[in-house]
Amino acid sequence: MKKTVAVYFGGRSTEHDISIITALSSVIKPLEMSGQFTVVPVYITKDGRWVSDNLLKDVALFSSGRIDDVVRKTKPVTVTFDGGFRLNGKKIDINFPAMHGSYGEDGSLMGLFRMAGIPFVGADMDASVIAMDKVLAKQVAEANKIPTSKFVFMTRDAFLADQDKETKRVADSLRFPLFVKPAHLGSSIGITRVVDTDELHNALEVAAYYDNKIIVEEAVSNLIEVTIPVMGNKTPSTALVERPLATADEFFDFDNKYIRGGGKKSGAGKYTGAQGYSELPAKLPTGLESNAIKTALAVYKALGFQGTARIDLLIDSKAKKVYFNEVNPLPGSLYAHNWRAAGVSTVELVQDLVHLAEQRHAEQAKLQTTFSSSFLRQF
Amino acid sequence: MKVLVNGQLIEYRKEGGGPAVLLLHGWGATLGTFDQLAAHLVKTGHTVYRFDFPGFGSSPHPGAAWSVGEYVDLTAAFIEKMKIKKLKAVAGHSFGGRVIIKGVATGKLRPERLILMAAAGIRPKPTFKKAAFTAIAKTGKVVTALPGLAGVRQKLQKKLYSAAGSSDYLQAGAMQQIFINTIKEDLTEYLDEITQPTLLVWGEHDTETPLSDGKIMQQHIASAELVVVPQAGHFVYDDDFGASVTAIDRFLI
Repeated sequence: MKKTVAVYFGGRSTEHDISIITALSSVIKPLEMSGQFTVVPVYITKDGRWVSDNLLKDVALFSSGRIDDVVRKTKPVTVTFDGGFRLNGKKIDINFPAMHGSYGEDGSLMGLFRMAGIPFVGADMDASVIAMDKVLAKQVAEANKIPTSKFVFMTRDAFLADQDKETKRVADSLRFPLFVKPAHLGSSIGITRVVDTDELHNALEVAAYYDNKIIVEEAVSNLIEVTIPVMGNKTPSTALVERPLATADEFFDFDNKYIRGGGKKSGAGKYTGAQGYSELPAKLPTGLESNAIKTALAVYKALGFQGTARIDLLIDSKAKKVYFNEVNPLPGSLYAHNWRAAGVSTVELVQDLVHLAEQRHAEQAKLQTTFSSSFLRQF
Repeated sequence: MKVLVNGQLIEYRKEGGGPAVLLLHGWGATLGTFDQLAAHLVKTGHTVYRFDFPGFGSSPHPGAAWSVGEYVDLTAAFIEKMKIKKLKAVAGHSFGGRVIIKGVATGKLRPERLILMAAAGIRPKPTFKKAAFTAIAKTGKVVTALPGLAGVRQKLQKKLYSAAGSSDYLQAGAMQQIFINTIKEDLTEYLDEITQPTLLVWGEHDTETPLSDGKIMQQHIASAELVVVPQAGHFVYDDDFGASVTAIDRFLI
C-alpha cells in the first residue's frame, strides 16, 4: 500500500518562491514517479495560511498568478494530531518540508512535527536552529576545532544604538575586504562585500534592515568556494564537490543563484540551476578535495545533522586551507543536479530521504522520555 | 548591491573611476537600462552611479504615494550617501529627466551639467478626444461611487483611462497613484531656473515625449543644446546608441 507524504512549501520567508520550485520539481514529481507514495501538497502563503489541493502540484498555477484565486477559494487546512497526523482528516505517514528560510527551514516546522510525533524528512529541529544562525553555526564549528574565517557579530539593537562605535569595532578587529551578512537569511539576501569603513557602515545598515543579528566575516584570500551535499543519519555520505563560478560581484547573490542561471545545462561539467553556473565536480589542487569532504562531514556531525544538508566551504588555494562557511539544511531543489551527477537519481534521492526520516523516527521512538515518579503525591 | 537611503532599500551600482556621473532611469525601467551607456562612460574615465528608483527593479515600493519631489529628495540623499562631492553630470531618461529638472531647479541636485534624454516634464495639451474621455473618466468616478455601482467602477475606469491614453496608468499596478502624481505635474516653469549647461537628446520619432517637448526645454533652459537623433524613438539611447553617445562624449569633454 502506498504511503502518504505531505509536502510543505512556500511559507513566510524571503525564499518563498524558491521553495515552490524545490517542492514541485525536486520533491513532488519524483515522489510520484517512484510509484510508492501518494503526495498531498501543502502550500503555505506568504502570510502563513495553509492550503492543500491537488491543483497546487502545477507550476503554471504559480507562474500565472492564478494561485491567489485558488488560495481565496480554498478552505484553510485543518491539522489534527489525535490518532496520527491528519490533514483535512486524511492520515499522513511522513511529512516532507520543502521549505527554505524562516518558519520552515529554521526548525519551526520541525518543532511542530516533533510535537505531532510524525516522521519528517531532513534535519531535525536542533540542527536546523543552529544552521539557520550563521553566528551559532560558526561558534559550534569553532568549538569542534573546525576552521572558520575570522568573524565578529552584533545585534541589530546594538548597531542602531551606536552605529559609528559598532562600525569602528568591526573595522578595528577584522581586515578588509569583508562580507556583511544578516545572520539568519539564506540565498545571499542582504549580503554585501565591502572594502572600506564607509561601505561597511552602509552594509551594516542594509543587514540590519533584514535581520536582528548581523555577522561580518573576513574574506578568504585566493578563494575557491565549494559546496558539498551530504546525506545520511549515522553514516553520512557526500555527493560531489561543486564549485559555484562567481561573477564580477565576486560572490553569488540572489539573482545569480536563482534568476540568471535559468536552469539550463551549459556544456560539459558546467551546470546551472539552483546555484547558478558551477563546475561539477570542482577541479581542486591536489589534496584539497579530500580535505574539503573531510571538513564537510565533520561539520555535518558537529552540528548534529541527519537526513541531508549542503555544506559551503571556503578554500585558500595558496595556503591550502579549508574553512567552514555556512550550512544549508534544505538546499534549493535538494541539490538534485549534484546527486544525479554522483549517480543518485532524483527519485532515489527522495526515496532515500523518506527512508532516513522513518529510520530516525524509529530510533527516537526507542528513547525513554517519561518516567514514573512519586513527585505529585506530596501535594 | 543595496544601500539604505532615507529608510528606503535601494539597489545600486557604482562602477569605474574618475569624475562622477549619475544615471537616472525612466518609468517602468531599471538601472539595467543603462548597461551599455554605463560601460561606455566607465571606458571614457568616469565613475558611474545608477540605482533603481523605489518601486522599480530591485528597490521596494516606497510604501506611500510619492510624487516627483520625494524622488528628488531620494536622489539627493543617494548622492550624499555615496559621498559624491562633485557631480560632473547627471543624465536621465524620461521620468529620470523629470526628477533631474525638478531637482536641479530647486537646488537639491547640483550637477555641473545635465543630460536629458527624452525627458518628461512637459504636460501635454489635451486633444479634444482625450479631454472628453478624461472628463468622462472623472465624472464616472463620481457616478460609480454611488451605492450599488461600486462593482462596475473599476472596469469602467479602466476603459475610460485607456481611451484617454493613459496606458501606463493601467500597467502601473501598485505604482498607479505615484504615476498619477507624477504626470499631473507640469515642470515648464522649473526649466527657467536651470543655469547649468544642458544636453537634450531626442529621438526624431518619439511618441511618448515628442520632439516638441525637447524644443520647449531648449527654449526655457538658459544654456541648452538639442541633438535630434534621426529615426529614433523614445528610447533614443537604445534606438541609436552610437549617435546618442557621440553627442554625450562631445558634451562631457
